[in-house]
Amino acid sequence: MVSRRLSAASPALVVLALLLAWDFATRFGLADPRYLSRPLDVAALVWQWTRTGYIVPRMLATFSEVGIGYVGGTLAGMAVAFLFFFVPRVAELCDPLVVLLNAAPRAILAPFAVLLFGIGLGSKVALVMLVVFAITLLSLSTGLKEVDRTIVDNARVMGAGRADLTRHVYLPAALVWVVSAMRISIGQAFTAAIVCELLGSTDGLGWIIAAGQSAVKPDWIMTGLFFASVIVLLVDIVILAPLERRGSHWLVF
Amino acid sequence: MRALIERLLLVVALLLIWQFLPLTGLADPFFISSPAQVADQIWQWGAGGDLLGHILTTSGEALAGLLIGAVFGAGFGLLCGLHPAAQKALLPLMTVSNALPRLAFAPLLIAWFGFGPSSKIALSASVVFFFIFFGVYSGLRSGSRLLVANARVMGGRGAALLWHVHLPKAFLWIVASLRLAVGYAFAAAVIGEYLGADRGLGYLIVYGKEMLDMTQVFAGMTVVVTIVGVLDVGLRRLARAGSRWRGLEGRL
Amino acid sequence: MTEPLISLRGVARRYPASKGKSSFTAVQGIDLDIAEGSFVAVVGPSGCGKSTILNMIAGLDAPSEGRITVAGETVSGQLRNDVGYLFQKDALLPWKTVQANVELPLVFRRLGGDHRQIAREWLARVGLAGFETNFPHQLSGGMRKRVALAATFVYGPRILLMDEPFSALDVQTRNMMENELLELWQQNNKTVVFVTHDLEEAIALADHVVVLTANPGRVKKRFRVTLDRPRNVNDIRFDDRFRDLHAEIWEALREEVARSYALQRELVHG
Repeated sequence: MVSRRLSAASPALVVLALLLAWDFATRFGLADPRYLSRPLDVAALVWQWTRTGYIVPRMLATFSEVGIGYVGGTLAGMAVAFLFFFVPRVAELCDPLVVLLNAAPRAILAPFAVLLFGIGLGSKVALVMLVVFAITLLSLSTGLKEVDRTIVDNARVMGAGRADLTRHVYLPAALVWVVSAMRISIGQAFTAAIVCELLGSTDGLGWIIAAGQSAVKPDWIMTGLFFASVIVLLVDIVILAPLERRGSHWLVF
Repeated sequence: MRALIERLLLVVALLLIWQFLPLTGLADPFFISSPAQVADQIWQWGAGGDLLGHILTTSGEALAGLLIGAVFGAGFGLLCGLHPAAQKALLPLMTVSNALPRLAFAPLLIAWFGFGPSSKIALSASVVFFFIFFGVYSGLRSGSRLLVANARVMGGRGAALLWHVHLPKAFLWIVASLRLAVGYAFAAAVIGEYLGADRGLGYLIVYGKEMLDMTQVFAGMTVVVTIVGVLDVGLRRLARAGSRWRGLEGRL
Repeated sequence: MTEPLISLRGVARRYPASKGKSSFTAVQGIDLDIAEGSFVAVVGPSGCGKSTILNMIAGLDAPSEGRITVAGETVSGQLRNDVGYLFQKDALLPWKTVQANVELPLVFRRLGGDHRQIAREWLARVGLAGFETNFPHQLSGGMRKRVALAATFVYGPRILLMDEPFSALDVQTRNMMENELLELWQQNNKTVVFVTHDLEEAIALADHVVVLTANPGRVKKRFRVTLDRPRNVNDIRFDDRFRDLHAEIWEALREEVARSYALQRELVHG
């Protein structure tokens, strides 16, 4: 009984231990608080920004970049995946481009985006779109190929034409893959947006971090990272996980 | 063969469009540069001997990060995969940390470790760590438990069990995660260099960006993408070859 | 004698060599006539091309040689609208409810009438009233087969192709499904082509049992099953005539099973 409670609490204990180690390190001269800040300082700043509402517009800025890029990237990824599926010749022709697209984390293209689309909203949206597009395309292409042959044959015998197949078989099957792709890409989308903000921006969570970096204010950096992390986790836990669970009730392996 | 030629033609066509687009007035060469200028830039870097130095800096950071991240990742992965108590304590933390925008932590690491290579190594290692951790952990947990149960009934334990049953079972996962980790290690080093460095490919690119010199950005990016692409394709071949002699063909 | 509903003349299906695989002849020189309203079972060792024959009659696959006619029209890779097909694997759409799955062929075929009502009636007939809003994965294997059966009968196909439809079910469920199939068949006057590797099932259900040879599949012999109807598949196995027939057909089938086994060993060791 006790051990079960202990093991349920142990992740929290690990976090607590890490926080204490951080605090002691700065207190007893093992680390310089000018570069590392202190847990309580960060907590105070988190509380202050929450109380004054200072953080809200910063979060909204990052949110809208990710939101717009996300929707655009998902739709574009779906469109191209279906194109590749129904016209295999195009897929074959574009294969080297797809390999290139998947070879590396797309966030390394951030300087590019900033230079091409400026330090405003455009560059972040473009980069997030690219990230989400690549993941959706890859995941959906695999997914469409794995739609069960028997299901397709059965629908055809029952009289389904190409349009019926797309609507009743391929699209719903694809949706499961799109949702799981969205779950994979949420972290990468936020990373892309924030990295892009770090390289040039006027607002957003990445801007806070960048400002903290250039002014040597580690508590700013940490608080910015704290809010960024909280957002990513919240989106995953509150929106995407239930969505995937809802979708996967037919995917019982 | 025909497919290869068609693909080559497509690439050539795209390059030609890029080169001659400014003539149509649709694009400004200031923004899109041109393939000829980019090639010339890479040639100049190469001839001056600078390029090799930058490549070595970035590769060294990536390699060091890969090694450190892989050692720690594999250690924690083994711990969590084989030890239920460790799994309970650490897995939720790992899952949460894995979801964080890790590359965004670069400024923090630069604040801690300074402008030199160590901050990039740390970033790279922190990215690699999670790939390898989840590769090893999932590999150990995947597949049939019967295999392990059977081996234990037959008397397998300790190192022998690990070597003959657990690790072979996890082999495919570990290879796959290593393959991904290499590309990401390199990219993490580059991104670390974007945010504060005086050497390396990332520095070249970001310097070009500050100078508003699109040619330099394109050239740096071309080098980075080429290296990562070659690494990825090479490792995929290697992984496939490795899985073939184990009779696991087609699963990677 | 009246014209057969389904007729195969000298039908062969060859698959050309593709990467890593040599060319493969699934069936060859198949001659087969199936009269309207009859229940024909096709048995043979595994890999003798039983499913290929069904796929060609359905129009999912086309013969490389020979001719297939259904109701006097040549079939060569185009789907007909009077054929139903029950597959061995589950083919229900996992993202649609039981009700929606049964309505689907009515939607595909742009048929009139009250889809909801028609589907409900068929679900009731296969004993699934009350399960309309469930999803396929919430049902047992036997229940999913019933849904598939309802979805096939719902659009009233004249011909029913069945590819080992009950092979994944446990024995009790299987016998129940077989009896239900016989009942539905007699009420609705369908022509059934039933592929199975289980000789007992074939004899218990069919009017004719066609034995195929090992790869490449040809028609080895055709047997007439003269057992009385209506039948109960549980009881009929104890009938003396059933045992005699079983012994007789098994004599023909045994050789082919042995040959197929030898062929497979050759493939593995050769």
